[in-house]
Amino acid sequence: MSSDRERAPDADTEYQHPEDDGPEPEKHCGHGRGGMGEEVNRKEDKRFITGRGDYVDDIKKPGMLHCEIVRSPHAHARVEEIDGSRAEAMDEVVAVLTAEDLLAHDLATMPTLMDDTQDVLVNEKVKFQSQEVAAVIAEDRYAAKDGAQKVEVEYDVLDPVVDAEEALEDDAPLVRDELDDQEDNHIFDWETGDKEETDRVFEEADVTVEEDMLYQRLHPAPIETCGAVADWDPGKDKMTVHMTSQAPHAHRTLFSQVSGIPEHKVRIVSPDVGGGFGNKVPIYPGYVVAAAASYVLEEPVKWVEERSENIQTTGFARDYDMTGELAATEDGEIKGVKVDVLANHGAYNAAAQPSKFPAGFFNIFTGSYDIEAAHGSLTAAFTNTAPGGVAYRCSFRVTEAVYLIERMVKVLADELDVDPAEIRRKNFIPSEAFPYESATGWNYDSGDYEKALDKALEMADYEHYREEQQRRLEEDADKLIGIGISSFTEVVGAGPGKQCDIAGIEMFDSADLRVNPTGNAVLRVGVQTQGQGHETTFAQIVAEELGMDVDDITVEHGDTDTEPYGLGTYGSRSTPVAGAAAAVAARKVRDKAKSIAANELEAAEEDIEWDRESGEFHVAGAPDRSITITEIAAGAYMNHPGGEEPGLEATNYYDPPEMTYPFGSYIVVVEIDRETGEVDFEKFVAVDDCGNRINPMIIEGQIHGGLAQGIGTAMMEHVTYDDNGNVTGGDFMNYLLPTANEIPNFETGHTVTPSPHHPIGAKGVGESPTVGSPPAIVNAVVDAMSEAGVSHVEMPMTPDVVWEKLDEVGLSHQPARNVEFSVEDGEHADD
Amino acid sequence: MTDETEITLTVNGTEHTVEVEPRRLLVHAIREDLDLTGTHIGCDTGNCGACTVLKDGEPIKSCLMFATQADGAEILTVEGMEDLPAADDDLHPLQEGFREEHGLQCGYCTPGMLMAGKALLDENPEPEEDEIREAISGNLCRCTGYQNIVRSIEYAADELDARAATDGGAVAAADGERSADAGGEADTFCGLEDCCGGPDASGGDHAGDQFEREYLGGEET
Amino acid sequence: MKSAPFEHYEPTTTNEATSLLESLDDPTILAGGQSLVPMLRFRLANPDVVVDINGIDSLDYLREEDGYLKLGALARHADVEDSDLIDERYGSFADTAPLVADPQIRNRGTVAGSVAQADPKGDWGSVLLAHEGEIVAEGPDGERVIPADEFFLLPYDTTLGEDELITEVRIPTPEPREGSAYHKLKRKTGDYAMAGVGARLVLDDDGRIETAGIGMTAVDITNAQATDAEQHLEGERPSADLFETAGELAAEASNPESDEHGGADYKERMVDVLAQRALGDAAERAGAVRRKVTQ
Repeated sequence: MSSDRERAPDADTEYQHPEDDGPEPEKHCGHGRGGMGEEVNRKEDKRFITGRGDYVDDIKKPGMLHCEIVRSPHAHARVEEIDGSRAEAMDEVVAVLTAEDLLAHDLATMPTLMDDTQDVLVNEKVKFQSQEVAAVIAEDRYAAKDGAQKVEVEYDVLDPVVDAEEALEDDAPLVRDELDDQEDNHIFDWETGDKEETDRVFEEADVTVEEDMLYQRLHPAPIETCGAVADWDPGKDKMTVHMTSQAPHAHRTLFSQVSGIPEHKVRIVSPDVGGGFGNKVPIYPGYVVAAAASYVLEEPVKWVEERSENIQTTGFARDYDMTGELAATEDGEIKGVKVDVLANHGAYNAAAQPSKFPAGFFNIFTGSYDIEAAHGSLTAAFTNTAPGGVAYRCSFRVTEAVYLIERMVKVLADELDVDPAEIRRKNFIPSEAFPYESATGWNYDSGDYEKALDKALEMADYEHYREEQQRRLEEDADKLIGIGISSFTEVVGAGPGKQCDIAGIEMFDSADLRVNPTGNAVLRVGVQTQGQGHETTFAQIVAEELGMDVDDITVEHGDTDTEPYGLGTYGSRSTPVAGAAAAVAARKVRDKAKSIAANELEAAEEDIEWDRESGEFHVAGAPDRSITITEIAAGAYMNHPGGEEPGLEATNYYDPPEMTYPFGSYIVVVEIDRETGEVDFEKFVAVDDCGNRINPMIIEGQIHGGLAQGIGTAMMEHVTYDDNGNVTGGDFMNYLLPTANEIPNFETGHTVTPSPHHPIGAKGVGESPTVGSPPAIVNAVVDAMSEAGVSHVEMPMTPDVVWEKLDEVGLSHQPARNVEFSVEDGEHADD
Repeated sequence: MTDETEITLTVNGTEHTVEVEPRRLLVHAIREDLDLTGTHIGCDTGNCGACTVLKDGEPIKSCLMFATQADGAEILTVEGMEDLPAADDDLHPLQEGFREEHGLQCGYCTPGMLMAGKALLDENPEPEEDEIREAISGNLCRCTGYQNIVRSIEYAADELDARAATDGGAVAAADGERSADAGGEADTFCGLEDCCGGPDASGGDHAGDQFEREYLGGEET
Repeated sequence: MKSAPFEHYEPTTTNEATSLLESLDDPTILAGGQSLVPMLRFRLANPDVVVDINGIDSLDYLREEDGYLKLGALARHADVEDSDLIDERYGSFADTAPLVADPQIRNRGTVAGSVAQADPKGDWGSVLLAHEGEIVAEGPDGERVIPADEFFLLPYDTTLGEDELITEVRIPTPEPREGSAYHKLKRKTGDYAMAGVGARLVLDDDGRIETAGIGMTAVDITNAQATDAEQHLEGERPSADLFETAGELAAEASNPESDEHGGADYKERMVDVLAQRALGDAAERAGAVRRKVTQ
């Protein structure tokens, strides 16, 4: 327990969120200026609803060429020869690039975020289907595709291995034979916790339970695919790349390292980004090829991938094959947790996470529970599949960790015949125990798990559905009820520089606030929204802290030439890190504003007070002698205090002292058709706690979106391969995203447990719903059948999967039961 | 490359002549030849609906049609919404609805959703929730979970309904919705009194002029 | 995403179309395009010539005539969905149309095109089989009527001649005591069927089943007919037991494969379930009364 750890400088929890059970503040009220807690309509909406969004594929530059990538149809093959002559002969084709061409510029390979080396264009051997083999640059995209079809590649096809378990067998094909010390497909082993202690606990336990569960391979699939327009300016020796990037500055630094162009001559711009979810964190070969082509040809080059390229080659998510175990007393007190994981990393180790965390934050698998003993072990393997593993709103593997523990708690509850809500209550980390250090070393900042669970149970009408469930079982009804719970704890806000770095760069973030003479302001941040509403929420932070109206603050992001250095948006880190920086910067400005106020009001600086409610500065004890921030801004430029600099601005680079730990309880009620295995959502309740809330409307939107992704995850999404390494789930016909018909209405609620170390007491929230919902959904389906002995159903739970379980335990039904027909004209009925 | 042909597309009331190869998709013609980039591309199998536009009043996926197939057609894209009569010199109630009800996050699926919503309200001004969900079931969203999109469309339905009640149906009718009170002509294209019957019925080049006259009130584009 | 180059012809009469088909080398017909365009974009098909029939206005109809429900080659799924005539008299068609793909695709895709495509997972073929439907084709040798049960050969392969154009698909208008239905299991909107069954029942004056038709989707190499089940039904009065046996027979007649849409065993069992559901609905629409039996 580290109650005496350092508080962040400027940590200031003077902001008090309104009572969490009170009515939601109406739009633009509260203070009335669009500050914390107000449901401000989004400032960025106008361009999107009028078709004026500016996405990468919207960019058109004079002379711009198009890049089409030639991809390998084979999952594992040596490239014997590449003949681009037929393509080059086409009028509209300007160039055909292969690894050989890139080698000349030292660009044939690039480093991954986990220090592996990935081919930009295949040099010798193809390692996954659709891997990049060559590129055609042409005058328009149709010609580029025509050219790509004309590139002839001779392959020597090899046997592929796509399954991680098979990859670790002795006779498996070697995926990475080009690596000197690589003699098999084993990448690394990882361990966490105390094995000895945990083993002892298990030996002494009254009860132990074990379950195998696969978190299947998924893909974030934002509706906008990845792409870039690279533009080398030979007049300025400057490379500008507009690209789908969740982290423009990190990309700039990495790009500079890969290309050799000095960083101050590289400009990365994220324009509007159509969804990220972790898909737009890695650097992909297409970006590098486009830049190389632009450099050589001295024209802008655009590369935008098709959806099938996106799913087949860009960073996948999950693919953790887990075995979980719990040890408990006979009345349900959990004493220990064990987990063993087989991780499929694909053909390269390119998982996008802080470098010191090869398994991400997976070791938070003790969850919301006070468990003394924990041990986890993991083996990672190469396979002939695309690289990745960390993506799709996972909080760096917290999705996998929470799935494990929330499923195991249900397994234990069923084993002991204890109500799953009660067993959670029994084991929760109590609210008095925070800050809490878990058995695997995480310092949870704050939490009140029981409160969230109680609220969820009430909203879900839990007792009623338990009764309904029982009734239907007794009456042998055609549809079963199942109730699933997930009480998750998340860890977000990467992170403290000493622990968290991306390719060596500490994971701080930044905000740069500049107030204009006319009293409005521009806030520049180092994070990059892809739909999270930063142009509104960050303005709200400044509005709150500076007494300015939210409409008077413009938020800018995405241009590395002007934004302060930041590590980008993923892992729900924007509010915890850049949000803190914005608050701190605003307070610095507020401090300087005080001295200007003193100057204007002819008072001593120490007598100036700032009133949060009115947003104004006044002389202590004389509220009539007051001044607004607008007047102060004018003063900063027109009458600045002697001995100080003119102007009114501040920058903060925020190194978070800790991570933040949002949490919640989700309760899902499903109805299962015993004839077909189809699952309907009867009720879907989500109670979230992300500390102090900036914009409840935006939070609710984030929750809805993540819950829908959770449904996709649990019910239908799966990137699948056949034995020949062909991606069979590689486009939107086969990688299934739920439509509005598959998603129910969600009922959301919240509790507020502020983060004690965050300047505005806020935590992140974007990934909570994708983290918390899949286990709730699986728990619900299992729950419908647990009395009959079912302990697990694998995701995705398509109707056939569910039905097969029903049938296995004798719960499936036939339609013709209890129905009779009769025909008019007095004919008799049957049976 | 095959020989290009000249086609005429009337987009948002303005007639355009474009030269396209037969294989050029309508979505590329709209985005690149006409520089209307509000319509988006999100997939390659016709599943995502981000490319949805209205063609002769019907929602279609513009990535599943060749530009030549739209020769002579009236197309409405998201950029045209703010010029519709119901927008009243500001935003169309659907656009307003998406902002008021937080029906968008990254904005990429939004134009397609607006088009699907428009087509629904044109045909069914008071849809039930399941009808709204069905109407947008050809449009994928990864950000919102659809709930607020449904609310956004409901907002617009209520707004258009309220306006129709106060102005006798003129605005709603002029927008292309089938107003129940529009002078007994149940099958007019736009509900206006001297309706030409729409581009399909009248055919020929003047259909575009008609659209411009009636919808935009003048010659200027 | 970008097709290979092709030439585009737009005939305005059926004669023009068939002449083109005859004179051109390997032409491909474009109607709704909702299946064809993606295939062209992925370059799974690379025709030199596309014959676009969307300009043949005379093929755009949906009407009852001469004892048939006739759908011209340009009748869209949406036309079926929006038709009052269909709603009132053709239960299986009314059931099927809204289940095809999604709203935008239904506005363009055609029933005839779907039948011509002959994807075993396509719905309309099964409905035609259940109704003893016919495909009317026109070619250089004139008009030809192909019974639905002689049309489907293999996946994407039919008895339609290379130079022939489907001008119409049709089924007999309903008898006084006829009912039909279609049930489909899918993983989400827009997905093809895991399994689908269309059923048609005609009752005689005594309340016995005079004619039974059962068509099955996605459970064989083509849309398939469950003839054993049909024969079992004919002559009998509707009953739960009867439909249960018919369902079993239909399942036995199916030949599903395991794939991403489900395992073969599951699909077979679902044929049984869906057949029973479809038969129950069809019987009700034919005039039978269906009641829940309380214990």
